[in-house]
Amino acid sequence: MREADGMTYRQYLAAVGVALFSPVSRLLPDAVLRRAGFSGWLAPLAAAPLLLGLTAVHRRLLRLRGEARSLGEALEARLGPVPGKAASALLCLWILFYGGIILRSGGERILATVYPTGRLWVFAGGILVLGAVFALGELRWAGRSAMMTFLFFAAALLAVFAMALPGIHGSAVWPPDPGRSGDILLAAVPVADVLSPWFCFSFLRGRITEEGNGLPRALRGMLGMLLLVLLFLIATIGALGPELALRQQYPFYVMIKNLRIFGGKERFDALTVAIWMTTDYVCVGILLLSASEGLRSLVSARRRQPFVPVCAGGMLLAAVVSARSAFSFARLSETAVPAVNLSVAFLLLPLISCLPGKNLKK
Amino acid sequence: MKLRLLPLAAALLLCAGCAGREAVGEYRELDQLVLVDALGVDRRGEGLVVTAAASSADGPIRLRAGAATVRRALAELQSYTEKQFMFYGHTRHLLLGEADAGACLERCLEFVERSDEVRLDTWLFLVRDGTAEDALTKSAADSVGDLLDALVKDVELTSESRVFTCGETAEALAERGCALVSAVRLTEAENIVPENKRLTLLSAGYGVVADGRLAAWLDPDMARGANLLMGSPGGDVIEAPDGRGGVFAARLTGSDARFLPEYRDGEPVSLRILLELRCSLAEISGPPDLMEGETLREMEAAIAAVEAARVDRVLRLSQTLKADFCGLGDGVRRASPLRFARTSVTWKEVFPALPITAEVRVKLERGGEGGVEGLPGEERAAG
Repeated sequence: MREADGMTYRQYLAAVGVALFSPVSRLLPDAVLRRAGFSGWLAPLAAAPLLLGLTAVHRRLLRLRGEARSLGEALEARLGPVPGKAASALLCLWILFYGGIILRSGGERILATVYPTGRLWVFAGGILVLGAVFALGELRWAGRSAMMTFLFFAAALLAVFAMALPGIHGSAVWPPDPGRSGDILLAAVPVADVLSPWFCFSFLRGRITEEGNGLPRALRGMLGMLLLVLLFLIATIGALGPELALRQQYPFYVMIKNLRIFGGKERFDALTVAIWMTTDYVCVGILLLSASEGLRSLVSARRRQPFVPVCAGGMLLAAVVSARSAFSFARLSETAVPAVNLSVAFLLLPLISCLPGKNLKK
Repeated sequence: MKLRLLPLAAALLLCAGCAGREAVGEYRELDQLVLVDALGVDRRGEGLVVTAAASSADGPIRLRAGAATVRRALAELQSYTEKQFMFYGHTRHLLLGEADAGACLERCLEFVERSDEVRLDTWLFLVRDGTAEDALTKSAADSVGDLLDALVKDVELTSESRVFTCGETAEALAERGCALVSAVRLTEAENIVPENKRLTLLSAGYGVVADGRLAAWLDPDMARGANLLMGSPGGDVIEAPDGRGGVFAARLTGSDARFLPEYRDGEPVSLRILLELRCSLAEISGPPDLMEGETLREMEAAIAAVEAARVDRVLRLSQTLKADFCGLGDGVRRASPLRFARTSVTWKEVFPALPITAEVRVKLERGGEGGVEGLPGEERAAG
């Protein structure tokens, strides 16, 4: 019998939406501009079939005997108990490492933009503690918290896009360069990368208390994320221009820093920091929730909470050992991390989803 | 009290900057700050001289320091102020002296792009026939920042130039290898009675920066032509002969630039630029017979001839310098993106030798309060 504690599907989607904006604002638009120049803003459209297909495959993987299961259960059912547990353990380790990347990038970007003389571990530690508080409580609390955070996040982003609109140079994005249609397809890869860590949250899937409309709802969630990425790219590339955006470490921050309302009010930098901190802490929180739930089911423990401090320690360790400097960290997060995320999301999990789920315990 | 709220409170305190200097850097009170309005950068010898202008309740503050880099010079400035901190987060204007302006610009843009204080939307100026230091220190205005703010608005009205931001300039340089920068000149104001004559900053057209150097100046007349090509004509007032021995004035109310490239075997072989101007009659000597279509057409042709000459000078200079500083390539690309994408040569290669003609069409639409609305204005070509 399922435990009563859980979050609704709507809350789950809200949490995932906020959390995924963390890698979006870190890796884009740089990655699409490198591949397709100013026409890179079309990359979300090119990535749409890929990501919608992934959503459907992912759902098929987690759906066993007409019921949604956690990723751990699905892996055990399809691979067998021992290989399934081993795969779960590896994925949990990856989630912790990925959480470490999010922690470190959260600290790094605040240092690079607002507090250049501050200490990295103060900010990374702050995000980790907030995430741990998020993960230590009941899931239904985390769900409500995610919903409220999502509303704040959506309002803040809407305000940013509205303020950025007058400063967008149409010629910087329109018309797209027809000679680079192949490059636009290539630029879909980084978009798929930033949205592919969706699978990292899937250990929670068995604790979603309300199913809703299932697949259409998941597809709508993914479409919403793609639309968000599209607006994000148009705003940053259109406001700064492709060359300048490419040269900035955090174009989103620079765009907001340069916003003026009615030619007077300026310096909305704090808004960016608020958006960043929110997305980082929700991302770390939900990764902690997912990893601790994965570990719990791995050892068949009753409670998830005791695993949260262990996972938090693992994330901190990953953040410390992942790179020596901001430069090597940037290289890591632009090469190895996307490679693993894409391989797991687009190769490993779809292959496993083709296997029959015969080992499921009743 | 739930124990789990304790770490939450601790984290919030940390993130709010309550962890002290060691954790989040220097915390600054407003009354400890010198809020810098404008920065000036000049090349002197092998190094740079940076001048900062700020206004305070005690009067204008002007400080100067030299170093090999802008950032180091700003750190030097810190030593000269009585207040605790120089704050550059509200710097609105960046001025560069004429000497070695190209290299200076490159270094300044690099500094602004990396700066966590100075913003990319800081207005950028070149000081013609002088130094940025003189422009900031010898101007009689109490607040150079306010003076330059007014100048940004003035040039929009007079169309003598257009002030670009550091970000726009950096983008133009990265994309086209050249850029227009608004020019100012420290000059004795002529329109003030002699006993109160004082030095002020006036618009002096544009400086053209190409291939890392200051390549040419555009006087205000040419600047108006460049503005037309860039599709931002401002509210220029054009004076032209009225055909009866006098002069009339027309106010530019709008313009459209259409780029009509001709391709042969997939390559661009010529470019025709069609500039359509809309004007309103502002002043004329004697009552003109405007109901006569012929008179109106003559006046439109006279305006077109003035503007065509301006545009032509700009185009010739642009091609001579091999620098597409008006962004014509962007107009050509937008005219037919597919053909532009399929050409085998780059725009930079083809631009200098491409036959370019500009055709100006004028429509004198209204007569202001003079009451000539509804005239049968026809598009007539000239130039």
